[in-house]
Amino acid sequence: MKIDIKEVRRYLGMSKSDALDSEIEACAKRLEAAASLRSTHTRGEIIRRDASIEICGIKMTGGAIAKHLENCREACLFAATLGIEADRLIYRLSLTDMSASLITDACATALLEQFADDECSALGDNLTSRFSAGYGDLPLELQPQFVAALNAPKRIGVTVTDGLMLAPTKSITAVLGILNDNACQKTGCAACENKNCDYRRENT
Amino acid sequence: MSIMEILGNRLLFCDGGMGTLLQAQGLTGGEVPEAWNLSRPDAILHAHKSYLEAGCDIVTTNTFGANAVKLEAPLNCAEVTKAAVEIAKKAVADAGKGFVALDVGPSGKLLSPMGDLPFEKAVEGFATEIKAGAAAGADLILIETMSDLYETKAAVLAAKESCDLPIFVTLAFDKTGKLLTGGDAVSSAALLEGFGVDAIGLNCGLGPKQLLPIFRQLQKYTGLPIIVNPNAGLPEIENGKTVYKVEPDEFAGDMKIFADEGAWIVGGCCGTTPAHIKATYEKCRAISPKPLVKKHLTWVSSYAQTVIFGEKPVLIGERINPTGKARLKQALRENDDDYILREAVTQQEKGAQILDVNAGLPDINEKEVLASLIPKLQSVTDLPLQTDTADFSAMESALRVYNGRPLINSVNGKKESMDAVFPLVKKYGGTVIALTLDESGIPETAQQRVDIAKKIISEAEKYGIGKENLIFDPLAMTISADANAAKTTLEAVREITKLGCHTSLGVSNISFGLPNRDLINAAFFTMAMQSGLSAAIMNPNSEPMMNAYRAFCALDALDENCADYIAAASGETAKTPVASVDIDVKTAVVRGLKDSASASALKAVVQQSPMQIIEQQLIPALDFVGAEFEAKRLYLPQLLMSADAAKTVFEILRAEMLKSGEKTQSKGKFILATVKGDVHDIGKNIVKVLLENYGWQVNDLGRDVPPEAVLEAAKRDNVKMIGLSALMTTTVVNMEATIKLLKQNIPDCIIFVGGAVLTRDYAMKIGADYYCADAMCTVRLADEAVAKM
Repeated sequence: MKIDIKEVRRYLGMSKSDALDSEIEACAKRLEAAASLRSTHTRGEIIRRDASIEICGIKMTGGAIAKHLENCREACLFAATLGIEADRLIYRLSLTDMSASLITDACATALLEQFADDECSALGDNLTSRFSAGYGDLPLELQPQFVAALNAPKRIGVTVTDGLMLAPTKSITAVLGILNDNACQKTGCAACENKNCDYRRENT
Repeated sequence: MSIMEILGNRLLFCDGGMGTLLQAQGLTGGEVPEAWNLSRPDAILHAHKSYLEAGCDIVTTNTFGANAVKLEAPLNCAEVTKAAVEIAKKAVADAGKGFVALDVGPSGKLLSPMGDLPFEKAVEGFATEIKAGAAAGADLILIETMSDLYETKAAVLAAKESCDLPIFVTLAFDKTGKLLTGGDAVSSAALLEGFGVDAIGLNCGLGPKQLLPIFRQLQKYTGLPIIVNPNAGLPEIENGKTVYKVEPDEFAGDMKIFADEGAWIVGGCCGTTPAHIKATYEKCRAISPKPLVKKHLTWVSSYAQTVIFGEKPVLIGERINPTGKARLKQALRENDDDYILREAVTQQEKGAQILDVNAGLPDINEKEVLASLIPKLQSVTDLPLQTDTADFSAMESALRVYNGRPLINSVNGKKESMDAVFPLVKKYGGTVIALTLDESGIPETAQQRVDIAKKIISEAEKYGIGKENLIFDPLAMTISADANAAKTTLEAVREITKLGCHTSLGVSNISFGLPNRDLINAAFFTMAMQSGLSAAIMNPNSEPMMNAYRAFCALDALDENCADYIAAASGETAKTPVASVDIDVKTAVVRGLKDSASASALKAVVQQSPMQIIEQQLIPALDFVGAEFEAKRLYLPQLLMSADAAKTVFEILRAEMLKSGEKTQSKGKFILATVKGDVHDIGKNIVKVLLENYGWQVNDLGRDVPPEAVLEAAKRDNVKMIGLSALMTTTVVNMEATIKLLKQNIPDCIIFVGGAVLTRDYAMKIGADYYCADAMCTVRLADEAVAKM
């Protein structure tokens, strides 16, 4: 998968600059070769209770997820990763070339997003955007349950640390609603409540 | 009769999937299957019986997720495991046949340093389960569905230390023939054969058709019995549920190929049912196991790579050994791991295939240093390592944490050495360098050295260690002391090669005391390779040595189409223009040109003192880029390129100052750590590079650092300046705990904090002294703090 350099620049805070073109290209190419892209998903009915909803045995609290899935009866749990070699590469570079390490880190973020977008769109054209534990008021403490429900350690090598972080670090888990017929939803930056984010795309 | 007495006499059959059978009896998605060992033993018993009736010999207990690390309260690992073994034993007793395999599955965690499960905790988690299973009467241990060799090593070690039962191991590969963490069939075989497990094989992940090439690869390299337990085809996700579609007849037909080609145990995994096993049993029962072929390979491995001796001379990088290296000694004493890790990365880039690791200095704790350094090295290099120490307890701790099959340096003909080293080789696996010296020292003649080699071979045999696990070093001694030294050593190389053994030499010893040593070393290296030398401990940064190696390989038909030779030659021509760019240190640093910076620094030190270069060129350059960055005219990657270029210059100046005995100037010591629970450390790494540029001596404790470890380092080295980073709200809690502990014990310490979720207010609330919005900000605030002191 080819990394979108424009996205890399956005993560580096360099959207308006065209410096370091060949350096970014080189980092992207090296990462594309090192990464092992893997994803998995499962699907379940959304069971609504008073203050929470339940999907695949995971009880999700908070208003944000309820709102995100308001037009859905079913949802997918999803996980994706670039694999452990991406982590090793970024670490190795941090010893000899910190700039390349930082650029590669941004490339990895871009690649993971692109890959997850592609994999999710292959799941169907009636899905909401991805919503992860830790977004809005959906507790990060649900991360181990996401990982377990997806059988992610065995299927794609994604584990969760005691500090509730995913390892390998370039991994994501998320829930996506399956929209009822004729329902539609705002996606991407337009759907996000955080209006002051450094990474917010223009015109949204 | 034990399973080991039957194994190989006839084909043995494993059972198939457990999940599907339990689901059919009412197990729901959210339930932990192992809980049924206590609540629904009847259902588990029924599953085992169905498989025994279908023809299986080995029933696996319902303990895949019963690992003590994985299983959550109120379930208890020992209790669940005991119940599981008892159910399986009942099924076997009722059927009047069969063996009970204690099923040991992965922990579901990633081991540190890439994840956060410490190696010894992993061993402990497996041991709890294995002890309970063995005590309850299991017949063998089946470690299965492993997708990480490091975790596999932890499980095997736990089994070896907890019981005397046979150990079978099966691994889960993906379509590319790789484990999830990067190992392949060859590196798996290298590790597990060394460990002396009783059978190895493949399970889960793929269907029989996809496993066939991986099976063949495995069989090519291992002489152990092979187990094959595939899924009923590739998993497909339909409506969010995983399904397997290969039907029993087709499955059995595929399994017959494995049995015909030499698998000794066949069965199934996910999606297979008693019908699949019955069909397989019917189709394969008449097949007799093919005799095993021992491969007698001399090999070492890392988690991902395998090096086989005898194919082509092997280069062992010697740079991580403090003997005669002032800069490395300093790095070891100052816990400057980064310098050591950089040495590893550079040697790999230069062409080393194995790296020697020696931390032997009189004033450091070699055992602790090796145990912490080896996992760090393995997170930046995938080359196999050679653990190099004369201290046997340090040797054991190094072998224990090493991920792969190590090269062990070394044993020799002294009784004391063999008595200490061979039991370690037996326990941890590995290939050992054997020096041909004994109680009477280094013999003068080649024949006497060969005699010691023979003595070592026969002593190793007593431990069941074959000579393929030994690589002899007949000791290169300087020709400046003995004119015949090189001839003697080369003769010993030839004679030992005739014994069917491999050899290695510390090549550069040959020229000790002579001028222009590279010249002699390279010529001797060529002569030694021509005499059959299998490996050399050498400096891969030495151009003459690398040239000798590449030329020899090209001439001896070991370099197809002279590809490596040509690539190296063209690499050299491409490099030249960069070095010829004639700019000064300041310009090179401002532009972030690392190669030019080092070239200009090497030129500058001839005319100026290191301090002059720092004051007149480096500091102005760094101040300029720092200001440009703060004015948003330069971006962070550019700032870091300049910082790296400056770092290269500092290293050159530092070496110069060490040479002349001039003291390196430093603003003082600074500790950096990413707090406990946090594995995201790029921000901290950026801060480190910049602080070093501005004259701080940084001790980077890494990531996921417990509060106590920060305190210990600060107390030990009397450091007051401490920087902490945390990415998420969940780990900021640990940042607060670390600050509290530090302030209680070192009230005058100054704490700098940074990280994505922090704000100034929050930083102050948790007791930090300074909030650092970005890396440059840390540099400025550190100066500010010093001014206030």
